[in-house]
Amino acid sequence: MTTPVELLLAEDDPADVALVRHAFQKHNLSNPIHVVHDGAQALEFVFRTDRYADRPPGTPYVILLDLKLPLVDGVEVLRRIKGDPDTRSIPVVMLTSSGEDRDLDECYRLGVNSYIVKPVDFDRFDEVVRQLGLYWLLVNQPPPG
Amino acid sequence: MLTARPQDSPSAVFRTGTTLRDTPVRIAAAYVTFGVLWIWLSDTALAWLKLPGDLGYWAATGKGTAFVLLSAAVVFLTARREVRALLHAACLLDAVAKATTDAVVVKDAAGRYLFCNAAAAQIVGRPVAEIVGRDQVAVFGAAGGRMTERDQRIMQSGVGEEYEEPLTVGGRERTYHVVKAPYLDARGSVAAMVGVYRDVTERNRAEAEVRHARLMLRLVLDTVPQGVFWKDAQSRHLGCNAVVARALGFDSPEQLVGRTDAEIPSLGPGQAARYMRDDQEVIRTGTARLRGREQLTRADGSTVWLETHKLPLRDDTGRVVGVIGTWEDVTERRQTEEALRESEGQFRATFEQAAVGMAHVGLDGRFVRANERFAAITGLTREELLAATFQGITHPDDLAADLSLVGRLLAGEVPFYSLEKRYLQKGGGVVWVNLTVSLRRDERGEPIYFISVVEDITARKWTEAALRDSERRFRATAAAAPVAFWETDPDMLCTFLSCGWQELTGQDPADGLGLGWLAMTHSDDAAAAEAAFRAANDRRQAVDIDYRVRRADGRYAWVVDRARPRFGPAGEFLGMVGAVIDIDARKQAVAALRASEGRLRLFVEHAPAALAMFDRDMRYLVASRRWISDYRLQDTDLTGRSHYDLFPEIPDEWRAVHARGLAGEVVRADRDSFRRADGSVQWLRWEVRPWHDAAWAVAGIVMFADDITAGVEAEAALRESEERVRATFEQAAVGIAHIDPAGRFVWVNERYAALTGYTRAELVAGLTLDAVTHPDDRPRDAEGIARLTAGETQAYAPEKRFVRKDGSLCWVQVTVSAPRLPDGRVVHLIGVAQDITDRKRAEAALRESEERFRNLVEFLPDAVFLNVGGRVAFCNPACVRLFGAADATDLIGKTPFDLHPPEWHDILRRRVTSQEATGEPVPGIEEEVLRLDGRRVPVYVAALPVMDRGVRALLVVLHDLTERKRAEAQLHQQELMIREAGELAHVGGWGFDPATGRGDWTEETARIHTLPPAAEASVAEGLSFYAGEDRARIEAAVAAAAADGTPYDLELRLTAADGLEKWVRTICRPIVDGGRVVRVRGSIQDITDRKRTEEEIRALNADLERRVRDRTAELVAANAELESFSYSVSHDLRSPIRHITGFAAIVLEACGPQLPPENHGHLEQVVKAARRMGQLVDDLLKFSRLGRRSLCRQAVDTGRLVDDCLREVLPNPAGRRIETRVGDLPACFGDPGLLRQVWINLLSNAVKYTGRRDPAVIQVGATATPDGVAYFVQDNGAGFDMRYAHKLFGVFQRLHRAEEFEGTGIGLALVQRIVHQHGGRAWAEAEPGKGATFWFTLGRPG
Repeated sequence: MTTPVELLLAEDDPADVALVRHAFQKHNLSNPIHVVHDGAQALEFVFRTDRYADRPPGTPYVILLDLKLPLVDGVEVLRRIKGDPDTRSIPVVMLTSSGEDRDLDECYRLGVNSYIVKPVDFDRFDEVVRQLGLYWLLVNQPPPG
Repeated sequence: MLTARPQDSPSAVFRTGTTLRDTPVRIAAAYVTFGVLWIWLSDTALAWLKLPGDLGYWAATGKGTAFVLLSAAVVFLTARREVRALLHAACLLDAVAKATTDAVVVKDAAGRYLFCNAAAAQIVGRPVAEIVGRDQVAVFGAAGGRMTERDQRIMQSGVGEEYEEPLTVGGRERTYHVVKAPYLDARGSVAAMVGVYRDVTERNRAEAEVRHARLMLRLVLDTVPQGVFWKDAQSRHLGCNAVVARALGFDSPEQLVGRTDAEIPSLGPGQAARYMRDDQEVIRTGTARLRGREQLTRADGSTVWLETHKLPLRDDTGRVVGVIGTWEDVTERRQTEEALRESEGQFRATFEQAAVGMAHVGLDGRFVRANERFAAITGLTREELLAATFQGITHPDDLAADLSLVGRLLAGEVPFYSLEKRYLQKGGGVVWVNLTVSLRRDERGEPIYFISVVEDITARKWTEAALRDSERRFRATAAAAPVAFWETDPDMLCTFLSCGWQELTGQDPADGLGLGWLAMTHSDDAAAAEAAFRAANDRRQAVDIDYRVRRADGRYAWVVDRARPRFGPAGEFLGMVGAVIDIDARKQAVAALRASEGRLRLFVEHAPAALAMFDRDMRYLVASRRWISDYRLQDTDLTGRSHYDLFPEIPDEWRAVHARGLAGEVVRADRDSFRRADGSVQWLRWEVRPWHDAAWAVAGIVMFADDITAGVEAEAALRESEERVRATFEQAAVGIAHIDPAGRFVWVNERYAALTGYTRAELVAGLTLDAVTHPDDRPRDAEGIARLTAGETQAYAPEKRFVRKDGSLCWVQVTVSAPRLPDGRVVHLIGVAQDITDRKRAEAALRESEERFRNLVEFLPDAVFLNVGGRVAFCNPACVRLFGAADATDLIGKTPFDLHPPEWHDILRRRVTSQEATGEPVPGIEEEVLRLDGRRVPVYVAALPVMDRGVRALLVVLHDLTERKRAEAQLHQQELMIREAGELAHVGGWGFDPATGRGDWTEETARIHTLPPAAEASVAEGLSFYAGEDRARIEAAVAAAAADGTPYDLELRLTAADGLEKWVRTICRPIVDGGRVVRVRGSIQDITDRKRTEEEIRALNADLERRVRDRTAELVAANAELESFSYSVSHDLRSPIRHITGFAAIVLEACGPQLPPENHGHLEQVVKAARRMGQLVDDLLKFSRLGRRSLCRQAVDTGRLVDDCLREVLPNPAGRRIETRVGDLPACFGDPGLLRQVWINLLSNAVKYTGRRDPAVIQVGATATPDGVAYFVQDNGAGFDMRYAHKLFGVFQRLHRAEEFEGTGIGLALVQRIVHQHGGRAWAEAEPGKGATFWFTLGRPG
């Protein structure tokens, strides 16, 4: 499977986007990242509707999903992705500031592949992004498609 | 050519020179030769001619002259040829020197240039003219001296030299190959020296390049893993790389060069020939050739597989001059492939050729792949099978079991399953298979398909069934007919006897060996049997011999012994084998049959009845004589004749009967009329029954007919007369029985039977009179009947009891008579019985009743006396007691006036008068009587007129009221009390009789209803004060209470008589006696005040609840808000912090080195501050979450918990010296997670604030306090001022600057919160600089 977009980042905060990009660059992870800024856009991207109706087919290797997203929140996006047999196999990593138990429980219930609380400390954030990128893009085999 | 040495040069120049050296000799030789020849020839000629004198003289003179002329000519010609040749040579040399591109110079011994060609001139850089004739120094200047030196050496030694010399020509560095050779003159001495210079600069460079290229090639060749070699057109190896050399057993590639494959020791001749053939093929066709795989045995003995590729090797012109080849060691690849192919082949073969059916079945049940066998089992072609599903071809009865197993397989409960089931074959047949199914899953564990293996077990199933049948049959056979097997040797001695022999004869087979078996044969047969066996043995023939053997039970049985000879492989006689079969039953059956048949025929023929036997076609088989006579068939030959032919008049119904008989039925008639052809009527008793052949098929019928015409007629007359007599008795209303002298019933009529409860048949079937007589009556019966029989009495007529069949008794009046025959004999008794049970019962009842009443009167607690004629005629014991008399006699004869006080006498008199007038019973009244001792006793009196022995009398009953009066007095007292209490409590009472609905109520009840006090009340009246729903409730409750005693307790609204509405509570307790409600009682209470209060309370409560609800809702809202606030904090507050640290870190990372140190520090401060902010947010969240978490209490081992926490908070041992002293810590009951937080916070504080102590001392302990156990953590750290102790546990409250001790100011707030949640408290004691002690309790458990 080849796809022009290997990583989808759903994050409304441009600062976080910048930090993620920076961390990826720093660790020589050159996989193309596509950024969407709200939940609706993320769903359109994944399901190739509306703004992304013309997107070439193929699913991203991994989706990084912020929990709190405008329009459609991250949990709902996760629910929709994991609820559709075509997209269920895309690994989804929740990347969020919150360490709240109820969020965690809900996301695991919905079948999230990984759940990472963004640490306040940038060095740790950096490390987390690095491991994340490495793991999901290099180590983890995408499902056959 | 330039390297050739001058001495043996074949050049023309030197050859001419040599010839030239001989030129004078050749001229001299020519002259001498000519002169000698001339002299000899001329002298000879003159001598031959013999010329005379003068002439001779002249001739001699002329000869001399001629000689001079001719010799001069010869010399001239010879010399000219030589000179020409010389000139030619010189010109040639000159031309060569000039034509060559090499520089050629010739120097003489003095170093002068004798010759120089254009090329040489070019090197020197001067025209030829300026060079030739000059010496070296003149041409080259001072540098030429060295050259001269070398040249001189050559000239002196006469040996040429060859060397390379660098020269600068035209400003360019060139390298020349120089050959110098001495030039020898004719004398052989060195006359000059020739030098030839050839420019080899380009050649040298090319050679270096080639060398380099070769080196590289070699390196490459020796490095590639493939073998590379090349050969010439004769298959001779020209070269190869190290791989090839090593493979072929050489140390270096060079060793291979020049060899053909045939000359390589490690290659076998066949191999070499094949390789060379390949080479020639490539060379011949000029095309590449790939020899697939072949094996090569290497020099070291190992075998490798090679893939060889040969290409033609072409020269520049494209001509094929050899072959270049490569090979690749594919051993490993080949092994892998081999293994794979082998494995695949095995699997395919297994799959295809398996004797069992195999198939891959999709998850939907569709066959994906199946082998031939599978298809064959199912009866489908493979294509048809692949279009089918297993559900479709499975027998419907087996599908459910299969599907359930599939489900379990898919669920992973079983790794596989096996099942015997049926497939429906295409042709409609059923095939039994043993199915084993496993499930193939992919690496993620998802099911892909099923692997089904089926085995056709139809045959097995059939065999099983057949086996079962056969086994059953054999078992039956063996049980029915024991067979013994035996074997003898050639001498007819028995060597084996099967156990069947023992079963048959009871003889141990071991004892039967040899000739022992003969002991078991019948003595009459033994000799014959032995002889027969012997004869068969000798003749080696099979024989069947019948003889008798003694069976285990001692009887003799017929057996057939089938003896067969047996022979060895070579045809030699080994003896006999045989089987002894018990045929006794058969023999006997045959004998019996034969006997029976004869007897039967005899019997039939002589049977007294008319009997005939027919076959299925109703043809006569046999007929009795009676039959023949009855049917007047004496003159007819019956054999083979049909019955219907003989008697065409046989009606259809009889023919139908015969048909039924032939169908297997037995049909009979006791009396049937048969109108014969002659008009006479014959009465017949007949029977038709089928007879069966050996196979139990109906073979015909036997017909029996008895002519009963005479009997029938006589009987009819008799019956008529008998009927009449019998009817008389039969219909009698009394029971009549004939009893024989032994007491047995001979005949009874219906009525008699009814009296005894038996049927008539039962009675006359042997029952005796005693059997139906009550045991107590039997002796009297016996005596009475004996006397009757003896003639002492004429009749015996007792009342007695019959014991009926069902055990009940029946009183009868019996009259027995004994009619005598004329001879005075009594044949039987006639008994007439009449039912007197009712009479007897009435009598008994009367007696019982009398008895009962007597007892009643005797034991009645009330006094009873009988007043007859105004005096006491009888009195009971209670009466005696009442009046205080000693016994009844004291009272008998007294008048009522004696027994009453005087004031009652008038009343008494009036009553007696009125009673006597009316004869009515006197209603009960209360009065007083006078005891004998003069005391007055209150009594209740009732009198009843009775007849006593025909005289009117009065039965008087006196009930002593003393107790009741006392009780009434008490009751009255109590009632007063109750009424008073009721009035005080506003409780009224009421009651009514459920039968009448009438009742009473108390004054209080009336008051509640605001009615005037009245004792009497009715239910209807009471209910009338209620309305609406309350009315319905009370009515239902009252009805239930009256009907089945259900109590109730109701609170109802009542509208009193004055119109005021009241709340009343009415409680009902019905009085139940003997299952009947005899009285309904209850109370009623005015509860209006209470109700009002209750209403108020209820209103108040409702208000309160509403307010609580409101407050709760507010609280819930506030809580939710707080929660969402903290959720936002956790999200939104952390993000900016992360951005601050993130971007600051990026800036530090990117421009750190360029930043001035001061700014660098500032940025680090930013990062640090942001981290601290993050820590604060996290702590604050933890704190706020605590409020939302509910406690999960359990027993906690505090000691262990503290140990754990200490391990966690104590820094690296190398860092600081910290002394910990942990005292005894009692276990507690709390939330382990939260308590851990408490200890961690307290202990880490202690560690933190003792940071400047060495050693730091931390003490942990517990003491008992009135509030429960108080735990403490004490340190010798910084401590604090107790004036600020109240701030200690507040959020964000810190008593130390951050530079001193880091912290967020939440730790102790958390501690306090947790402790409070547990119901305890936390406090601290400290002194600045002396340390602090933190205490906490957890409240008392429970």
